[in-house]
Amino acid sequence: MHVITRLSRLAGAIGAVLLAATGAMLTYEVIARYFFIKPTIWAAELSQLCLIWGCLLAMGWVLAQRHHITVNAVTGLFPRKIQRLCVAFALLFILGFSLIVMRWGWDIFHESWVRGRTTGSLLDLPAWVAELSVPVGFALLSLQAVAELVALRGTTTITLGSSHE
Amino acid sequence: AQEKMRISLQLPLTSHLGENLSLFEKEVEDRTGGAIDVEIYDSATLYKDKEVPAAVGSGAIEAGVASLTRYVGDAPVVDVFYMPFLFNTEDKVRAAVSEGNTVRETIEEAVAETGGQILYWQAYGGAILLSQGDPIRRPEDLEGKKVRVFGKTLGDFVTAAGGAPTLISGSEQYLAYQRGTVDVGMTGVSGVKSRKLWEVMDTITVTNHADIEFVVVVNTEWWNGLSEEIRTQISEAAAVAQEDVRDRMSQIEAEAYAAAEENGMTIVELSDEDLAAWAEVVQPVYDNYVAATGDAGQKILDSVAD
Amino acid sequence: MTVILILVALFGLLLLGVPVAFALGGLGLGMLMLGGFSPLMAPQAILSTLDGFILLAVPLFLLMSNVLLKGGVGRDLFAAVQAWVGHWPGGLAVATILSCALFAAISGSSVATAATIGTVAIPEMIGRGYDRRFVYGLLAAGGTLGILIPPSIPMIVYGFVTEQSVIALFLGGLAPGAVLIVLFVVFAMLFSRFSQAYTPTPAATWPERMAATRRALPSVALALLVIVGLYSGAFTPTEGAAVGFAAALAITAFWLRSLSWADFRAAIRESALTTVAILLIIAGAKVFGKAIALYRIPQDVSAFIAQNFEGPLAFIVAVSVVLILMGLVFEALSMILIMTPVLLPSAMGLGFDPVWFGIYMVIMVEIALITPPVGLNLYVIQSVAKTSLGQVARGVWPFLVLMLVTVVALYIVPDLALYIPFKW
Ligand code: NA
Ligand code: NA
Repeated sequence: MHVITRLSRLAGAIGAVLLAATGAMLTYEVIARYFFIKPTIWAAELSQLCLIWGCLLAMGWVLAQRHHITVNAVTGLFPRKIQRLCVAFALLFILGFSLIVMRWGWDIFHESWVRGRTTGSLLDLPAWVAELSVPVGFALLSLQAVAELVALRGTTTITLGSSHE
Repeated sequence: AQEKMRISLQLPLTSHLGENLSLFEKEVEDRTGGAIDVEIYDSATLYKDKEVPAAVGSGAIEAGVASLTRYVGDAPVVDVFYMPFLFNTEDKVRAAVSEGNTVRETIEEAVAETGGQILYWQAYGGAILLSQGDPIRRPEDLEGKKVRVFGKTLGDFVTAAGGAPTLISGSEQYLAYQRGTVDVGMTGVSGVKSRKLWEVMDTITVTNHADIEFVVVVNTEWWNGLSEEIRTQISEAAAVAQEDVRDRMSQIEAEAYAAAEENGMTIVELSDEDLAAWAEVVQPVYDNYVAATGDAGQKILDSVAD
Repeated sequence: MTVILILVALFGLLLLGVPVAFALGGLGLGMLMLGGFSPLMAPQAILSTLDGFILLAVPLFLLMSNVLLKGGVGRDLFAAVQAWVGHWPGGLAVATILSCALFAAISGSSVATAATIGTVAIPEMIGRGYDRRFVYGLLAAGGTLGILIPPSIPMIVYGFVTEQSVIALFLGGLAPGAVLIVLFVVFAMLFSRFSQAYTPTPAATWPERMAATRRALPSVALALLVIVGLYSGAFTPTEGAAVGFAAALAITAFWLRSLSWADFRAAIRESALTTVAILLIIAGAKVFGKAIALYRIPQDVSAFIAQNFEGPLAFIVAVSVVLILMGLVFEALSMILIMTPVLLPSAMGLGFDPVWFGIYMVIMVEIALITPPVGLNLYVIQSVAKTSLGQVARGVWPFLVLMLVTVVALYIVPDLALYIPFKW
């Protein structure tokens, strides 16, 4: 398997664990608040952080797994060759979008880092802790998009995603 | 050429901040003879309140309206308005936000470091406490109670009084009170009217323990790119709008209280003894503030004390 | 003119197979840049979307239902309901609908509901001689209860984008959900009675009933715990979802002992895949939403509607037609995310309650889930039953009519959606 895909898979696994970890934190929060009338100041914010990082880390893996929601009604009617062309177009589109978001997402992170901005919330974490996830996540997604483009010739895949809720 | 000034607003145009922004739009367009075209994006269609500091600071949009406390991450000094009972009368607030006052100048300097600067201040009124049954006269009335808050400093205040602060967004407020997710509510009194909170809470305690200010901020780079003449004209328009909203605020609050009373709410004022009881417990909030803000914060507090 | 250009571009991208999240996000970003806005808006929008506390409920509700699913709860529910009502006229059909309703109270997804109950109910019903098309239609439609009965992922998304209370939306779905269940049950019993094409199931013995109920009871109790907890204010939707996930683990891993370590890992993996796909669409829609706000499209649409449709009835009829047409090819979340910002301002201007409108949108989206050519529940049933799309689609239309009847009832009696959350 391609080294990039392996990297995406690792990031995806970390992301999945982060998402599941939110369950533990928030359950603890309910118990703390409901039974001990002592809400935590960290559970809500840390689980939010896990959601942000979890989702953005896992984007490339989700692409590799062909799990992004996609409308296949029309492309499904095309001949194979055209379908592959459509997939190439979609991958290029994703790549362009990711690169722009990565570039400007980096600016957001960098500015907070330099200014030492904090969130101003109950936990008052540095703002960059969450913001760094955007350049990292979209870098992973860009890499995976390139890997998919390279692998496109040899595969029989004809869509980038599945349809589900 | 016509220059666009796009302003992001969290609330709808029909809110008093929205109406005030419309007044500002008219004043600007009249004074500049249409050289500046103001466009208001209301109801958070472009940015939510909490995104405004970053959006304006980065130049993603020319201007925006934000609750002042949204700057607390960049400029912790702004939460001086949330120091318990520090600005609990209209006169004190008016003095603090008047041109040249230390409070205002220190805050504007700190905010200016974010890449955006304050063009003018919009009054929103004082924060009050809501309850079902007994009023919240003394700190002990908060003890062991879950209290809605909307920020860290207000959370410190509740903690200092022995309550449990719980962050509840504006939209979940009504149901949080109705269902008892929290026991005590906290909001500006105009929110009681707009969200019909009298359906779920029956008592207002007029604590005015914090003062809620909104600011209209403009991107500094964009501002400096305007001609001297235009800048003066916009500043004049801002001064008119700022005066107008502050004059109207007491009227708006009076109407909100009247509406609350009409809908069966009991309105309770604090006595001097009550205030003294609060003063005894809120010192940690001030200490936290000075710890977070250092000399600048101390300077502000000293200037208010004088 | 601009509106048409944007629509053509959006539909072009989507139909060429660009994933919905990136089609919305990329087109929105392009429009913003053309409008002289900074590209910073895109990462800002993505961050602020994922920063929404309510959206944490999405992975958690998915985890809860996936854990229960892997623990075989779907089978247990069906067995228990069947033990009680299986011997009624059309008893298996009734059991199927009630199982869908019960599973809907655990799961926030229609597809999961249709797939779970379909897997156990379809072979059973076909084996008993029920009309195939009727069976397929019943399961495809029954599955849509998944998003009307709380928890519901589309409701979380609607609440998030419109800043409405998700608890109110959840509670608002209960009564319309009950109406739909009753209509489905009555229809199923009448159909079975008149077609006579089934072998009645013998009544289960009391020990059988007790045994089946004992296995299903914890999951039913969990569903009740979540909804009562939300109703009573004990927890927010996000916390309710977390508690539900924890309790689902306890039930399947320790009580029923039906969840293996591998099952658990699979549940986490699948929940993550779906979560990312869903939240990215919301983020993409947020970028797109900013772009259409910049081009003042909601205002233009409102003006167009105000000029052309007199009053709320004409409005809702027109909107319903548009949503049904759109629902032929679009899936649930994209519809809600694209259409809500455009329609809600007009709807509120005409006096519709935003929570009511959310429930209405969810039912319209349910219809989209079972209309060909693109209807996710049709696909699911097609693959579970190993039949053709056409067979499933032909079985679905009576249920479509019943759903439209529910929409009409909701319009005539708005309190169907508003009484429980606000007046009870
Ligand atoms: Na559900
Ligand atoms: Na459809």
